[in-house]
Amino acid sequence: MAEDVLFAVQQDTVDMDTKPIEETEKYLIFRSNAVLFGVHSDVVKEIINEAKITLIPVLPEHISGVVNLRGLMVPIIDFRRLLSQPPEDNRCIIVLEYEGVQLGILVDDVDKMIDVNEKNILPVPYQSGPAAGNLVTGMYSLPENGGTLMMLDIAFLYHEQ
Amino acid sequence: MGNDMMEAYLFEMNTLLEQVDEIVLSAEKNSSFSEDEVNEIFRIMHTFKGSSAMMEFNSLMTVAHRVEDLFFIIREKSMDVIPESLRPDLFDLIFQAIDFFRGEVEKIENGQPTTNDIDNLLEKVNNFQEKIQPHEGAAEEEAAAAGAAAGASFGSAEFPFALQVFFEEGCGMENLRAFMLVNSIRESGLTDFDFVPADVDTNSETAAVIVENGFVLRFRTADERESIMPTVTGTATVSSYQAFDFEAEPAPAPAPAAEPAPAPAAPAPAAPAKEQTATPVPAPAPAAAAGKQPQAQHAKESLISVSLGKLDALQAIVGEIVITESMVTASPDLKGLKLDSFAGAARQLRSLTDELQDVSMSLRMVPVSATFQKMKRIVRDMSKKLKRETVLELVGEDTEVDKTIVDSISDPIMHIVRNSMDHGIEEHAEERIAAGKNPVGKIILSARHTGGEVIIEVIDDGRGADDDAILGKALRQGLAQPGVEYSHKDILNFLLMPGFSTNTEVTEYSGRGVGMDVVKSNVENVGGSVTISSEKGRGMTTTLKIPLTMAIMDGMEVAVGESIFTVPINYIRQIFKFTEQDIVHDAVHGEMLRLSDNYYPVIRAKDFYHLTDGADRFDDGIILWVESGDKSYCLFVDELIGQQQVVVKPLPAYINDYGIKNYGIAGCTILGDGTISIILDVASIYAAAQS
Repeated sequence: MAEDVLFAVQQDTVDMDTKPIEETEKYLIFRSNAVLFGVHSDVVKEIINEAKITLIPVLPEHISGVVNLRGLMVPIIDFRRLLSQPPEDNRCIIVLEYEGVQLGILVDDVDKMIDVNEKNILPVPYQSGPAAGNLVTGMYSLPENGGTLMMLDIAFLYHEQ
Repeated sequence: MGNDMMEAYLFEMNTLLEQVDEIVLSAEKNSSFSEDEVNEIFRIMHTFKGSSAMMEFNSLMTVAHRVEDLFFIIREKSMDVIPESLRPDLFDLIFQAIDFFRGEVEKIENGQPTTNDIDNLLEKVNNFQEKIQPHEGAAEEEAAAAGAAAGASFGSAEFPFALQVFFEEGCGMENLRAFMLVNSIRESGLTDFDFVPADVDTNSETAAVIVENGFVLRFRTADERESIMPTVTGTATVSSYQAFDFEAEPAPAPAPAAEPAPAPAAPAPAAPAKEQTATPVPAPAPAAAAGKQPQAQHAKESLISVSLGKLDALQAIVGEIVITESMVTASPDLKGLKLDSFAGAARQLRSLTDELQDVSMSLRMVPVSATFQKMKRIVRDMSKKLKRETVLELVGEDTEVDKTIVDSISDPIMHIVRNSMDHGIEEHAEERIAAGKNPVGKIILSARHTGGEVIIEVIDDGRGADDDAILGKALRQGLAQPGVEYSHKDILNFLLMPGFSTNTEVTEYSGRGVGMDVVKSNVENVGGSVTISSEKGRGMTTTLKIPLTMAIMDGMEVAVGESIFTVPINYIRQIFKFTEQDIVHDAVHGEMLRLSDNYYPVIRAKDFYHLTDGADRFDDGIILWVESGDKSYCLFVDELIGQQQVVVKPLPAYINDYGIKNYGIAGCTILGDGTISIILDVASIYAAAQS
């Protein structure tokens, strides 16, 4: 038993030595109107599929309302409306937590988690216009022609108002 | 030094300071301290001294020590030792000491160094002490000079049978040995006795005193003393002991006597013959300084202090439990099942959770008395300073309000009371007499419950508001428009506007740049309101309406389309059905309803909030006649769901930033089935609808 453990530990160290790991960060991919977005996994708190969104009057259109997340009121931003895309039903909510504040974004669906080498994130071309540039910090090409990922600017999303 | 320790120290100091303040105030009224009060102050000063010494705030310790000394004398000799003529000085002196402590505690709280400049205050204490007991120090010294054997400084009326114990020379740590001796006596069953120095367990300096003067145990009866003799003789380090009986009555001999009887701390009024002894040394020996260990402490420990954060957490969890409970018992999975025992258990659970909610709610409720008591001090100080004799009457001190609310109304109340003293009460008693009033001004501070609100009123019988003067001032400040007619009410409202201060000169108490507008906004922050009413020459009444708690309230659940709203019950005057024909259409105000000889505007919740669903025809919905302050109107909704007690939750800041509060959205609550209901603020809806 003790030998096994010892062995396992050794194995680990060998692994670390032989494979100088590139510094990658985990990102969650989600989709909104066929556009792929990436959000850093550190700020993703949970994903909820069924939640009743309570409309709060007077708010701008892109804020759908609030959901009751185990007693906590979480505001929900409709990502499609935020990007002025056509609205659609049956979607899921990604609950983010940033600077201690929870915020949900309503998206089409959640794809998967990937490792991203942040060195390979490219800046947003200037031509894309201010709207896209504001909400996106950079672009990242997915391997195997998986398309292009827009990196979500969390700080902007939170302070966009 | 641990932060916790510092926090505990500051909390203790603040609590005790409030206590002393209260005691001294009430004592001042009787112009005497009762025995209990003397004991209490003595005990508190003793605690101050100990805690401050522990935290190494030497100046505080020294002052506390001196005040303790002073009260030791009063305690031993009763209030009679202080002649009537000196009593006002005594009260002033104590107030000065309290202010000193307060100032220092504040400095500590703000991380500033404490002052060392306490000579002035100490001198005052010393001078006073000399006045009441000119020979204390001298007698003490002489007694000490007369030799330790004289056993001078012990014996008291209460514990007349003393036993002076000496420990073996050079055995060290005499104080701790003494304390162990005390403990073993207590173990033998006798607890009602006294010893000097009293602080042997905490103060290592007493070791030297014990070496010199011995350790003195004092008992009520000779038999008690006899009974513990074996304990004393059984203690290995005790080298010798001697018993003294103390006689209360006979005045001490004029000269320091060789007999043990006369003690400086004896309840003997100063004998004139002793006067000759030179420079009075005010510092009494530790024997005089040390008091009996407070016995009354145990009874006080039925209160504990808990951080508000923990209570908030408890409250949140209880709220969750209540909701989860309904989610379980009303689960759709149970539909159609016949579950007798489950239903019974569910009912019991329900009543228990209700009770739990009530209890957790009541934990946060505190009486307003602490806040009110502070005002006594302000009125006292100001009436002395301004030379306007004024009494403060407190009504309904035990009214309970949520802790967070109490904290936020303390400053507003203080400001209003100061205003009443400064601007309300007449400068000279003659003015009051001429106006046919009692020459002594009166301010009434009252609190009472009405439904979900607490009404706090500050009523003074002073000059009242002078409409012309206020209007003139408002015009000068640009708050009022020239040529416009203002009603009495409008004019009083100027007082609550930013930048208005009726006193032209800034005085010590009012006019620190904080006006009634700050009072107003503070009160409004906790969901309350301020109104002023006044009659010239008769006084002024300032009324604060404060919600009982921001955490829970009775609400009426109403539906509009898909949305559910909560309207606080206290704002609902009436609920009724109406038909289209009853509506009066008015070109300016839109739809109105005639109710008890008055027309009230109708606000349709659906249109006001631009909701997509909901009833449009009056026949399909229901009218809530609501009223808040002087705003009264009808709110049209689809249907009533029912009355419910709701836990108020704030909406996320992210959402509040959009200014929804101005549109009457005050917060939200979670209903039994997990649905979110929006809590409406009746007054803001009206304001928003009018604009």
